[in-house]
Amino acid sequence: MHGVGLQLGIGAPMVFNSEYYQDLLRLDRPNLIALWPQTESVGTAALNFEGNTLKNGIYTGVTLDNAKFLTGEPTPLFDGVNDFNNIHSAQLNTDFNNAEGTAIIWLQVFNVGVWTDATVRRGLYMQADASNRIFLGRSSNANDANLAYRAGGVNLQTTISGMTTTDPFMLAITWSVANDEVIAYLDGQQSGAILNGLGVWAGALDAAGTLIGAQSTGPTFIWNGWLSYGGLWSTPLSANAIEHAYARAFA
Amino acid sequence: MSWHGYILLENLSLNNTQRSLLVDGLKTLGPSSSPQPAELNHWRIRLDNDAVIFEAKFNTNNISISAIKNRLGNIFGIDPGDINHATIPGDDTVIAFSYLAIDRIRFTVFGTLSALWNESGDRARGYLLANITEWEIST
Repeated sequence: MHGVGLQLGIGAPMVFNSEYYQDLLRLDRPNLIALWPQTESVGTAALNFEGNTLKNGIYTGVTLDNAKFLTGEPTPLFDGVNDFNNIHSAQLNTDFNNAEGTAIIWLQVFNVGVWTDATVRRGLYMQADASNRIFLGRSSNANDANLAYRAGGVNLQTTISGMTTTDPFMLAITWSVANDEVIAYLDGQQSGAILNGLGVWAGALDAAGTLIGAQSTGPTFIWNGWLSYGGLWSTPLSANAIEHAYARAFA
Repeated sequence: MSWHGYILLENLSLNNTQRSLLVDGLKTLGPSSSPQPAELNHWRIRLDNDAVIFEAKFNTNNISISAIKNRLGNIFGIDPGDINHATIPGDDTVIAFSYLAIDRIRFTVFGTLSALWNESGDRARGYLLANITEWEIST
């Protein structure tokens, strides 16, 4: 059942998918590790909709239900000062596949000034250490988003320039040692070239460096804006699947 | 009275033990529970460990000048009345606390206690951007 349409000014009503999470749960379900929609209105638990509560996150400082996501669901505000969702758990570390995987996150900057504030801001960040990490967010360069898979110190990174949007946007990254490919996506479409030459990942996920909305529990490099639907799979989703994950938010 | 906002504590000359006592005491402020994580006390420590930004829904009695003097008095084992303070004018409430003519800490209420939460947050974010090398690691 789809959500009620909302009419925004002049034009045809737009229909939002208020059960978007079910669409994502059906996306290669056997390989879904975790899905954190961040649609809570109260409490510090960031529920893992994949179902294993051992992989729930823990909010620090976020303002829940601060605005509505594309689907009409609550979305939390990360204040750019000291907020984050710590998604690390022993179970997540067990299930995480450092050689084959997909990570997605929906991001929205608080205002256009965030794109030019010369501050690194992470949407989703997972590391064993500085030489072995995955991140999606923005760089300190004006109007740049960046996504990276770094393993064994080999950094495969895509920079997306010209970002000025103040609307929600989706970043996704896939990695595959078997195919020797890292692919970045913006709004469901591949961005940049397929990157080759993956290094060898070493180390378990860092309890202080596996987060939505920041790089560390210090915290550092905090997102300034809204974040929704962080997801993690143990396989590189296809381009069609990534596009589907994006498009269903509007369905 | 409650106030949800951001405060900054900067250590100017406390030793490690004194600093820890003060910071640990400030960490206990704010509500013991709240449906909103933003209202629960949480903090961010400067890279050199000599400053902390706190955010919570504070009881303003606990972050008043006298409250801070009481904490410093306990830390130094002295009458809080022997702690002096000087207010630095500006868009934030900035107060330097001194003892024996030595500045010990600087305490900032971002946006003052009259600021709304988002206004205090804007001041805190502006402060971080202006002091980014002290608060953010290199990438």
